[in-house]
Amino acid sequence: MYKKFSFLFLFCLLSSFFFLRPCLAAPTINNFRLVTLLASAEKSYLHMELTLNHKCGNYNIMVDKKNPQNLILTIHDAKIDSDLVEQPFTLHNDLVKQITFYRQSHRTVQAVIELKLPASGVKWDTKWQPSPIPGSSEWILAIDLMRNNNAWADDFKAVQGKVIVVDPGHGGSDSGAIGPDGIMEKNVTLAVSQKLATLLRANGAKVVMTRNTDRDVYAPNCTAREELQARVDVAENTPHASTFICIHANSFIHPSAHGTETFYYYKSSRSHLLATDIQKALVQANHLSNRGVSTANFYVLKHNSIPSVLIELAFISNPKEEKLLNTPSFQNVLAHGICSGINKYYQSN
Amino acid sequence: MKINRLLFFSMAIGAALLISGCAKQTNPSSNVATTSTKEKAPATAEQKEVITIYYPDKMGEKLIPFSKTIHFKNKQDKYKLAVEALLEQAPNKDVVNIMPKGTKVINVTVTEKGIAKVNFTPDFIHKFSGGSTGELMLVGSIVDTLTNFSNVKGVLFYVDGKPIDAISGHLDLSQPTKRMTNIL
Repeated sequence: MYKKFSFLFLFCLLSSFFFLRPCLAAPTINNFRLVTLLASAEKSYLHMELTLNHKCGNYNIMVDKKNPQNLILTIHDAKIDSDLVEQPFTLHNDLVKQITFYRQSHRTVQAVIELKLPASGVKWDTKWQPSPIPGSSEWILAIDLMRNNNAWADDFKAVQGKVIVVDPGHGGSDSGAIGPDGIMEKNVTLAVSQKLATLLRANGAKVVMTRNTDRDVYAPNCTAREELQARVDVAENTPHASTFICIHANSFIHPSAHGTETFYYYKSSRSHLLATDIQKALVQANHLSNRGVSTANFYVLKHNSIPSVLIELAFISNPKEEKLLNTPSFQNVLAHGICSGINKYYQSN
Repeated sequence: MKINRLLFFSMAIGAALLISGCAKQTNPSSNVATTSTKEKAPATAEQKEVITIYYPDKMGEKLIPFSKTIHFKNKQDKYKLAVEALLEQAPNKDVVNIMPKGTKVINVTVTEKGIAKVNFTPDFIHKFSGGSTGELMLVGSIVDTLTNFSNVKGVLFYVDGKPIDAISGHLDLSQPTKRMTNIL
């Protein structure tokens, strides 16, 4: 009995060695081609093919933690021909800017796929297929990238016809918090608010901004209360305004504090719902640490009669997040996340 | 050689100070901040009280309580001593001193209705570095430290004797701020 098993074991070992032998030499990527295909008049998708001399190894596609507008394809246990490495493939389509291959380590190949929109707006599909060439032992890793319709601008239908007040925090004589590299909160809040307004308007919402330039809403060097009341007044004086979205960048005395947080006033249950929807969509888009929703006795929230939230996008006092906050593509990601959250709120309310 | 000797002496003095400092601590618990000893006046008896003060953690998520023994002759002084304790260096590396640099406490009075009025020098506003989290932790550490006294129900803020409604555009301070339990 025992002998029989040991023989079986030896047989398995030998046969697996025999069959797996080709894999001991890492598969090599020796060709890359891509094509933009039109699925319909409006929607396009990108089809990529990586040709390898045999099928082996693990691979995955993940969103770049440092830049949510990049996808990273990692192929483990693989090599790549030198003429494909660090040669950016520039594309002319509405999904991807360029693709660059790197040798991440001796046996790991990575491709950075730079998107033209946040990764949250893109979905992908991968599959292995044998080479169509008769007699070839090559395998093709096919990757299809397309827009994720649920997350894309065209589909924020619930905001259509809604009147939304967007309040870029600070401004003019009040710079707000200042980051270690000197980036001012007032400029970040305005940039993100303007991008958010554009996105909301593109989806049929009516947007009223408390300020659209670098200025004080009430008057330069007025008291904090006069300034804050002036912002509340914009909402109170806008007929049919149904939500107040206040955009801020956070700050703390210790540079390690980081992440995204949304505040609401505890007495308003609708504000709580709005805050929850925005926070969820925003951290899904920006991939920053989720500090959750919190109640706070903030002036603009307490004195507004419509559902109101104050969004702290990220920490301008944290060097990493300060850089992100000052990057236009990341500002787009933030605006996109907030818009998606507002849309979700109107869908269910 | 001279430098070496000087170094040795300064190290010896430093060590002596450290040892004497340790000897003064009556409670060895790690959560106890160093005690401040005031000069004793012979006329009135000095009282002491163990109070709880709060420092924010370095991620700005929560306030962490620390015990501290304060010494006072007049009962009204203990409120000022409590806020002044927050100006001192943070007791360990996991928490931070949130008070804007250079801020001094002018006075703290408590009304019969239990409203503590804290009067700071202008640096309290001018040197504040901003942010919702910064503001919540700053106000929270003061309010939660003061509302630990059973007679204090809320806190109003003053700078150079004038009431302030807001520090930098977030919290509404025009009404007494009650104990902020959600950051404890």
